[in-house]
Amino acid sequence: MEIIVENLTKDYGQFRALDHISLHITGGMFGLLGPNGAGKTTLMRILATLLLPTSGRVEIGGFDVLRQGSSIRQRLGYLPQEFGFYPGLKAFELLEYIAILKNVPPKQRKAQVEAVLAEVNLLEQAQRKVGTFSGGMRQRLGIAQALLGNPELLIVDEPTAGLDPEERIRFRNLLVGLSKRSTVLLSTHIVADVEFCNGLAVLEQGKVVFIGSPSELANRARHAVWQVKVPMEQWSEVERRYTVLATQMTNGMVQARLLASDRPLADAQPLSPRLEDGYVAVIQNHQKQREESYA
Amino acid sequence: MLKAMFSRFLVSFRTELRLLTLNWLYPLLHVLWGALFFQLFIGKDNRSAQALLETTVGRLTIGLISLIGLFMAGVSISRSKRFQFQEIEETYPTGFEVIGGRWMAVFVTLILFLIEPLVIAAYQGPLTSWVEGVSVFLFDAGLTIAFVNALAWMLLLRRNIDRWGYLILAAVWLAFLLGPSMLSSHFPPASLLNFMRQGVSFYSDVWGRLIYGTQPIWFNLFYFGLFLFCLAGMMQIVSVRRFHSTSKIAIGLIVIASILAGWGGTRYVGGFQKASFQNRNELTLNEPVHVRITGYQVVMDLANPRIPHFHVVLEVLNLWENNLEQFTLRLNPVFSVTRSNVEVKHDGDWIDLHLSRPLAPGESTLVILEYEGALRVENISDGVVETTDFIDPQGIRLTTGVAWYPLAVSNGQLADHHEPARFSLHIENNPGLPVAANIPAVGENHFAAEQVSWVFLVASPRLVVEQIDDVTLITASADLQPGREMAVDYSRALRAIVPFFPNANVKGLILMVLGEEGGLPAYTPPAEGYPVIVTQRYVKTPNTWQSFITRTIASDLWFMIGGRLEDTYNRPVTSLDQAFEAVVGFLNLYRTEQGNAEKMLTRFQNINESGMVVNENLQALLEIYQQGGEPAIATIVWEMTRKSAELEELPYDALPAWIRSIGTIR
Ligand SMILES: Nc1ncnc2c1ncn2[C@@H]1O[C@H](COP(=O)(O)OP(=O)(O)OP(=O)(O)O)[C@@H](O)[C@H]1O
Ligand SMILES: [Mg+2]
Repeated sequence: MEIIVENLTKDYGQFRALDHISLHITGGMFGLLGPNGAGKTTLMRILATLLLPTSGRVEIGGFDVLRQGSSIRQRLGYLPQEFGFYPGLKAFELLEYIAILKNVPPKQRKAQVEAVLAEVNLLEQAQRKVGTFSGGMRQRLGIAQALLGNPELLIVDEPTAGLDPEERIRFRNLLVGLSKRSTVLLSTHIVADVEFCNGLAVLEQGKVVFIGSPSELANRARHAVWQVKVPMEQWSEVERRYTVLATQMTNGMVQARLLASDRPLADAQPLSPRLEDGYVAVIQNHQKQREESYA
Repeated sequence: MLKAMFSRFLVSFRTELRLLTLNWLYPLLHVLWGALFFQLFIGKDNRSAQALLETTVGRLTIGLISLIGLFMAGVSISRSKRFQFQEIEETYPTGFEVIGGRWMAVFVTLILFLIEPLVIAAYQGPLTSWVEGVSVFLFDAGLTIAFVNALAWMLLLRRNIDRWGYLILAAVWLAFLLGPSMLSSHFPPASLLNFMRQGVSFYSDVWGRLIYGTQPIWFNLFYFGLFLFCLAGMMQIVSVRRFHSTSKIAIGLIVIASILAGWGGTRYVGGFQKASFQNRNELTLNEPVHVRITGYQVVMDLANPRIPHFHVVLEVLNLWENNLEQFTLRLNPVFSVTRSNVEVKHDGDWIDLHLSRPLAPGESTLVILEYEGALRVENISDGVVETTDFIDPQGIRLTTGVAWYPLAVSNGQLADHHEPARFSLHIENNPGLPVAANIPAVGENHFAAEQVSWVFLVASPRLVVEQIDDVTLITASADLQPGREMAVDYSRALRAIVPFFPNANVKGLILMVLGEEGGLPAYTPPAEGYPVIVTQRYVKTPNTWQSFITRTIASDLWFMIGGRLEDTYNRPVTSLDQAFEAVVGFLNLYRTEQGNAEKMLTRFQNINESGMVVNENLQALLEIYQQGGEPAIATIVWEMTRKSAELEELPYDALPAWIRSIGTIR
């Protein structure tokens, strides 16, 4: 499903959470990155027909979010950042209930519930009460409910938060598989999660500061990632002057990965940028621009 | 589409019902609920099953379920939010049907609270009464619960409720619980706001809803309208929130609901205006009454029960010192006189009669009057419009006060009695209604007695007349069992007391256990030979009950031997009243100790020792009884009634001596 966002602004009272955002997502898997409070959840809630935009236009698969919300909802799977279920129901019952609400045809209902339970690896817990689930299990159940009804659009807000590494990989693969036939919109803080996305957007303080592919994002840090090795005594000076991406201690020396437009130290080695480096570069760039514009 | 919507409704209903009822609190609530009703009513309220459902038990049920309903609705509405499921749920392709299903689940959960009161009522019996009452109860309670539930949903859906919200709701509940009842004395139509039906009882044991006319229908229509309104309101809120548009169905429903509620409300309130208009008639006759009616022969023809026809022959006595050509009687204005042997002019509440031949002083003449009309007199009582007097194919209730037969009364005595007269009442073409009166039946549909000063005629399919020893029991079929017990009590008391009033010439006692008071006179004088007791069903508390029986019988017998009795309220108590009180006190002791003089005296002394003022009048009577037995007391009673004027003048402290002097004369 194609998503068109044009000049979307969302105000919470005086506070502008989204500021004239425009996005065009044609399909596949699309990732939203951004620091806390950037507006990712706000954008996703608007797309999921939960929030009304203050201004601007949002169309999903040709349906307007404002006037044709029900057509969108019929095609939507949504997993919020924070959610829960009625603790007294068993997982299977709960999903059956949801399947009816999502208009899954009666004949496919049972099979589909079982299928999504299998996909999130919860089949064995199907007859357990949801109230007894661990955080990760509940998260997986949340994913399962979003998958019910074979949605054409899947919006998942930080879906991998709280999952153990094995489940995270499992889920990532699941999304990749799904994105072959549906549009998947995913927000996350874990950069590794978006490596398989066809497209990415980085939000910062309600603005889109980057749109492109993962490799393009990584490229934003091209010629700006360095590896340095300094003794402990000098480390605080380095840390103060440069953005540190990663560090490692080896017998009294600190080996670090730095972000810097020019070679920071004489013996600094240029490195090929990773996705994470690009993300940090984009955010920093934006922050710097803003500081300049204030000045 | 519709089918899918229905299955969403159903699944939402089923799930919510499970979540509500499979909580441990719910069965606990039922246990408490059942215990409450058991504690309050079993063995303590002897109304019939239907009466319980229509009054005490029913009202309590509806009132409390309304309160429980507010909280249940709150629990249900806030559930998704509490468990953070709302965010997910709202992205599903659903509409009002989900909220509708949940509303329905709360409704059913609440309806299940009707089981306990129904069981209590069934236990009380009789079964026929329960069967008759159950559908109306379910409908009334169901409507109230539906409305309260929808109202709570509408209010709580609009605002996300917090703890204060519940407090406010509870306060509103309390205001509606108490407010309308408190207002009803100043502004009776306020009873319309009494959605929990506190004090709004459309029920009579004898006539069911008949005496409330169409008022219950308007009341219920009003609430049906409001219920629809709230339902539509819910729809509208959901539509705006979820679809950002107004729902056409909701708007349509709101229009219909407003019309229904407006219509029902206006008609209900209109009923009060009509009733108070009827009651505004101020009766004044500015001339003294020169005649007395010494005999009545009334024939009531019910060939057309809606417009009964009366044929009345009056024996009119001229009390004036002059020849009488013209006099005025009172007759209800709804009747039109169709025929008479004298010239008649009907003017409002009065008919002027012109005799063709003047009536000499002390002379009597027969006046024939025929009249007809539909009689229905409404009154406002406890915030409800009820009919006190009516003739209807389904029942009759006539009290003297509405002048359904001509009365020779003046301004000063427009009340409920007339001068005692010979009275005969025939009902012709009775459509098959069991019928009874406060005067003895002398044949089928025929009542007659001497010395009749008021006539109370009742007829209803639910009426039962039964002879139990010397007591004629007249009661509603549902009250037959407790009525019989009362009749036995009265019969026993009558036998014990009559020997003290040998001149009363008692032939039997008429006991009307009807539970309706509208239009009845405060004091119900007996006809010749027949004490009349008109009472409600009672809750037995043996002591007070037995002395109540003694007092009511004694006062009628006192009257029948020609004694005077006056309402002791608002006037100084005289030795005459004291004398009567002493007699009642004596009779009570006599009955408790089966006439054993020693025991009576001991009991009397015990009572005195317990710190009460020594009743010297009673002591005097006891002493005389010890010496002279029943005849001695009978003589004193007789003398008391003869010499009432003397007793009224007598100082209190002289009364014991007076009693003793009479007792020793013999
Ligand atoms: N209901 C609300 N009322 C007022 N402000 C809000 C509301 N919801 C979000 N905000 C503000 O809007 C901004 C964007 O919030 P949003 O939840 O969209 O951020 P996010 O990118 O999802 O952050 P995170 O990564 O922490 O989930 C934040 O500054 C937040 O405080
Ligand atoms: Mg967020």
